[in-house]
Amino acid sequence: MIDVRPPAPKAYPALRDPWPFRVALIALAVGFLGLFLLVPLIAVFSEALRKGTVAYLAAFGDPVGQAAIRLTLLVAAIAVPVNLVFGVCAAWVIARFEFRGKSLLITLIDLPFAVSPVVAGLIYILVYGANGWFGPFLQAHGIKVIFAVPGIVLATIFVTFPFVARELLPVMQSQGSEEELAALSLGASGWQTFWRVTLPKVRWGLLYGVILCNARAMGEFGAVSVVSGHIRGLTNTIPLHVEILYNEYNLVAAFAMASLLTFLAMLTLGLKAWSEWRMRTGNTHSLSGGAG
Amino acid sequence: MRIETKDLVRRHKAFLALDRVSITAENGEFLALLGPSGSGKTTLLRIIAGLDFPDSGSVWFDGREATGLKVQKRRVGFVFQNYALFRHMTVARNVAFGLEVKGGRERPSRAGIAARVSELLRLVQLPGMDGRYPHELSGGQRQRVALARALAIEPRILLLDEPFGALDAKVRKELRSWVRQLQRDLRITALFVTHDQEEALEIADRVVVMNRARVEQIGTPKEIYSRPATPFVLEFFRDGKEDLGVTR
Repeated sequence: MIDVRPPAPKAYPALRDPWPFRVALIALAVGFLGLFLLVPLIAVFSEALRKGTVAYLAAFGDPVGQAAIRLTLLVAAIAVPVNLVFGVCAAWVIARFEFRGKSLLITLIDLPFAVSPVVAGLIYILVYGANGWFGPFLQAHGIKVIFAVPGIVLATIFVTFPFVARELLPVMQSQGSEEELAALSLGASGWQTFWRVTLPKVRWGLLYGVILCNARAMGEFGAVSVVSGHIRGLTNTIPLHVEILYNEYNLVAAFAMASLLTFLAMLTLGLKAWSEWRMRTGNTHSLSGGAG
Repeated sequence: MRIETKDLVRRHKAFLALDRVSITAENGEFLALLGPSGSGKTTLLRIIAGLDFPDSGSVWFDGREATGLKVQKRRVGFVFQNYALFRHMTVARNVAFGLEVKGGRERPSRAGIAARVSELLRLVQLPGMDGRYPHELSGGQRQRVALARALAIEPRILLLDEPFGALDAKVRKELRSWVRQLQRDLRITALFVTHDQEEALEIADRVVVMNRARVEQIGTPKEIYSRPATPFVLEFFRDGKEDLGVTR
């Protein structure tokens, strides 16, 4: 099999920098990463474990803390599937069809990236709050959105919307639609083609998008903070609970909770590296398959 | 099956891809669509397959109109230029695809599908390759898997889009006479798109020469070579340069 990836730069001696320069650059990069990323990471765990493992584990016995963990899991369990479905639809539509307003749609998908999460939260208050557009209607029907779980879910969906669509779109565009046409010519319906060809083809990109979406859904602070109302045991997610504990000088508990999010981050990075690796090997196949 | 197109017109925005194209392929015939790139030959093939639809004109299969027929209903075996094999499936699953997506009573049993797959892989001379993935195959092998996959649905016609274009010269020559022989053995009507004059003259029963969305000449290789009907055909064969027609 021909390897289509470009050769590593080290193949060209002319591009090789003198070694002191190289060492200095590497030291700078490693030092920067260590200072800004690794030290805080270590600090989270050293603070969480400062009074020993018993105190660390005790932090998770607090019912209010447990409620925050449950709420975070619930919000992610709703927001991620919703964004999975919408993200696949959006990427599919953009990659497959030409239509008026397509570039507007792409811009809209990126909107949550461009807007500050706090603003996103405020938009929801403006729309669904007691004095908002739908406020009177919702109140009349006894539906509580703002300062309640639905508002948190909505804000999280908004903030995490781009991840799946943005990951899938380039994968779908680069793979083209010949395989789908082949499936149709072999008698498959549109539905069969989607499930048997399109989805399996993009599965690693999809997994990558879902992982990132989930990490952000669980870790989101700004937008959720605005719409949550910070009711203990009811509308506090893990990040909000961390803030409350920290403000109350309950450092061990705050960092214990924070360590959960840190574990999530490390797991996310691991899964992400793995899915990227799978995607790359998959793409090598597609490249050599396409060029023939 | 006999295939006929009548006055096909296809526009892509301002670009005219087909301009009143009428051709006929007789039952069991091996017809070449020959022309420079952009002459409309692939568009014609896709319209016959049902992957594209004409703005006006009609397509007829055995005297029955098939213009608006959906691709799934046409039972055409289409071999794509880059084969379009399902990259996430093994060779066996690729070949079985057309049988597995059949609904209800039409779908053969699991054992029936397996038997058909190994029969087809023997036919395309790839026995024992069932478990390989497309990226583990050479270009010529992929081409033959694509052919086996298309034949699995027992197509009424075989449509091949630049079937030998992505192969190196030696494999190309071997494969094209093999495909020709296979087509004869199966007695199936087949159309193939090519921009290579030598290829068209060597293996086709008749050749349709196309240029700028129009048919320039239809005839046997001998007729076309000895009595070119238009200046374009003359130039195209004399110089053997595929892009001559579009540069002037």
